[in-house]
Amino acid sequence: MKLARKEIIQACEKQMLKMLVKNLDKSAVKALIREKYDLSPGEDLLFHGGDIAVENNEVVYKLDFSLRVGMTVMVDREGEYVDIRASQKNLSEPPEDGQDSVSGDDSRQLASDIARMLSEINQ
Amino acid sequence: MKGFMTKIFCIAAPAADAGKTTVSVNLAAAFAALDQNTLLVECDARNRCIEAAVIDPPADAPGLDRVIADAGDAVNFMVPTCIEHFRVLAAGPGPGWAAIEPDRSVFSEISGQDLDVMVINAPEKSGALMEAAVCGADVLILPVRLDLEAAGNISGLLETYKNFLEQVAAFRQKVSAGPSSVRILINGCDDAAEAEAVLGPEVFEAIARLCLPVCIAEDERLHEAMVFGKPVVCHDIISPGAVAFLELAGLWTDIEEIRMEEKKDQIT
Repeated sequence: MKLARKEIIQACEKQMLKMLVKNLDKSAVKALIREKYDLSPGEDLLFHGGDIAVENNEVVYKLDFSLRVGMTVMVDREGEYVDIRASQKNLSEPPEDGQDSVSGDDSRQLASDIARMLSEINQ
Repeated sequence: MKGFMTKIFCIAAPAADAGKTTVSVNLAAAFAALDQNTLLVECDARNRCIEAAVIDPPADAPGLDRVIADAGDAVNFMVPTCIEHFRVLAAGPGPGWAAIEPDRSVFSEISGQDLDVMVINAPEKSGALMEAAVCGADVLILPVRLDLEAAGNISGLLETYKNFLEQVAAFRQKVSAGPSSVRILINGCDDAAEAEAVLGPEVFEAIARLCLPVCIAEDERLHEAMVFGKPVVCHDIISPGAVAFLELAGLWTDIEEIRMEEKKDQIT
């Protein structure tokens, strides 16, 4: 016996998870990542989805993120692996050669193209 | 605008989840709340608009499919809603909706029904019908959802909108008609400052003047309203979502001042 539409329940769950993520203390999450994994996340902590689950007989909300982390890979002069460890470099800074990232350039160009196309239609 | 020709708004976007149904239903309801005789036309065979605008939606309501198949006048298939002056024309379950003739101006045919405003929800998958909706509209509104997921891939998001605008330009060239105004509606952000933070200042600056001056914030009352088959102006007229949509509708009406309390009394 169906009492409610499943798409409505799913939409509400999805919305609730998004609201939860929006109100999450990102700096506290980053601090936990630093503490637990000894990693230094950059500014990009991206939400990819979530789920409602049961953990230790309690309802929990699982929030899936991806993050950019700085990693330093070390090789010796022979090309042999030496070590890999978390980098302390700030990922939000532009690369050392002074060039902006490719995706940033792409976005600016695409935004200009969109603006031009809309202006042509709106004339 | 009242008593003049029907003003046709098409709500379209290149991908799902941009908020087309939310914008279509609530913008149409806001026009109706401002005393504009309004019809919301659904081009999606899943009938999302009728579900979101009618408390007890009729199952498989016939609508646009029958109009396209010349099986009856559009007025016979319009479903009333909880707001006076606001009716919905569902897509309908029949195969006709996908089989529109390329040169047919079906929305102009419907617009001759004593309507002040027609709002068309035109999903990207509605094919030829979306083309007819875009070409038949006076104003094309492109909702862009700028939420956490979008923030992770701004260049991908912009690329899809650019491709979509190329498609719109091709439609216009083919029929030598189409919307005289195309505007971006920012969805999922509290205000322009939040949109700027998501897009980045340079991207935002490039498109800011082409965005509508109202942003649609993530709003629990707005989402609740959709679930219960009520547009937000009917569900909670003083919520931020209702105010945003009334402001948006007010941009195209000759009503200079929206008296919220007066409207609230009329609707409740």
